[in-house]
Amino acid sequence: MNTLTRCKPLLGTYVDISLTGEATDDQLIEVSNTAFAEIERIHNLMSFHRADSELTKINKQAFLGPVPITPDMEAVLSHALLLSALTSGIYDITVANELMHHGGLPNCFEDAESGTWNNVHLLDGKISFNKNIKLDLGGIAKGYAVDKAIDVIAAQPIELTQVCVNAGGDLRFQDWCNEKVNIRHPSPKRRDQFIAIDMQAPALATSAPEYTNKNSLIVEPETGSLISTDDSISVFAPSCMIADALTKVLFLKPDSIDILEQFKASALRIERKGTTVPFLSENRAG
Amino acid sequence: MRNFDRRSFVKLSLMATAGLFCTITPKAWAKIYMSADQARKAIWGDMKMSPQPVDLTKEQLKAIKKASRVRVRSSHIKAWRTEDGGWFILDEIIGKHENIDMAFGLDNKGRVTGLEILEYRETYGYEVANPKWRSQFHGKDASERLKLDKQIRNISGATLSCRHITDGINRLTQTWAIVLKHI
Repeated sequence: MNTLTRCKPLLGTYVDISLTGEATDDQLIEVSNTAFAEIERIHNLMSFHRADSELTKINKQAFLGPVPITPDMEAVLSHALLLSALTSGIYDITVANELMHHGGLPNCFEDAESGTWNNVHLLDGKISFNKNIKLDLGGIAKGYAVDKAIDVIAAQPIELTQVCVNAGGDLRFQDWCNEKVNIRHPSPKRRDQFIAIDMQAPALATSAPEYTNKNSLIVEPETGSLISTDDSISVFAPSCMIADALTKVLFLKPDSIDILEQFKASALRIERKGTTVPFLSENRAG
Repeated sequence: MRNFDRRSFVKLSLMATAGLFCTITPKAWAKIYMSADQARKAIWGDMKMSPQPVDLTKEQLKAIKKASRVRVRSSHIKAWRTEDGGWFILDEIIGKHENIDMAFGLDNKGRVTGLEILEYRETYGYEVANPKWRSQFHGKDASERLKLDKQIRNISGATLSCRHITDGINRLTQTWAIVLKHI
């Protein structure tokens, strides 16, 4: 049995791929190459920062008329819009304008307007906006990239006994049973502490305040301001894309237990003092 | 000195993860990825290369800092020259809380052809800077390090930015333009 763990800077963070199986180093390197290439491909499509990404093209042109999109973009956008519909707009990818104003994204579009997911129209593989809004796919694209990397690894002829792809905390296992992970303490002063948790589904994502300041980079769609928090929220879900998106939903609407159930997800909050509190149905009233 | 540091950090990680069930409180941890030789293969395949270490002069250090706007911490470059004029370089990137050992490939035009993170260490507290404390871990070998790596769990939390790597790439490409290109 051989294990290769490899790490590259991608998606604006550290992407770590670990492969275990009856294979040589060279074979594992080859498999990891295809996975990193897939992540890079998604990064190049969905990066807000890249001038040549598909997302930038959409942000520039979708207000002018329908823009044809790739199947990958369609998969991410349709999930994002589904979540917006299910959460009555709590989850919304049209917050790029607010993120630009708060310095969370570079200010690439001076003429951008604020809007909501209702201004986005996705039809027959084409996207258009009826207002000059801008999209940011941030976390959901990162989760999607992890899912795609897991898919391309599974499609390789080499059989692996364990695979883990971890993009800066958005992670997914091939076989999640009996796996434990460390969740970082949400307090900036205790960033060197970890809380060990059993995996509850193939994928896990955690959202927390930035360590440099108290504010998160999560925008409240109704007010346009960044939410202030001391806690982190972790979501276990069948896919990493859903796990990442649901962390934002729970920050903004902590009683969204029905949505968790709908996506076969579970979640926990880690409070400032390190206490772990699961999101359960009985918490619903509060 | 550097190998020595590596060992101590890994040993620390063991102390941090071994036998603990719930909350654990390491002061430092490390995750080891590919070896330098695996990285060489991943970046350059079977390309032949020979060692060509470079020591930068004070003037060169200054010029690189000015061009890249990044502080140059080491005047010694661990470099190998490939048959076709490219480079394989082992480098260390130092951030606020993290030290990252990296391998870079540069082609004969100074373009980055590949990069690998070899080891990622996070450091907190005073212990890591205390030589007496570190010395107790002297003498652990590479095989032990590899074994330990498996015990380090995956971490989820607020996304860490890899901005320091971008700085490191800028510093290296300027090092190529100012120094390596002319060798």
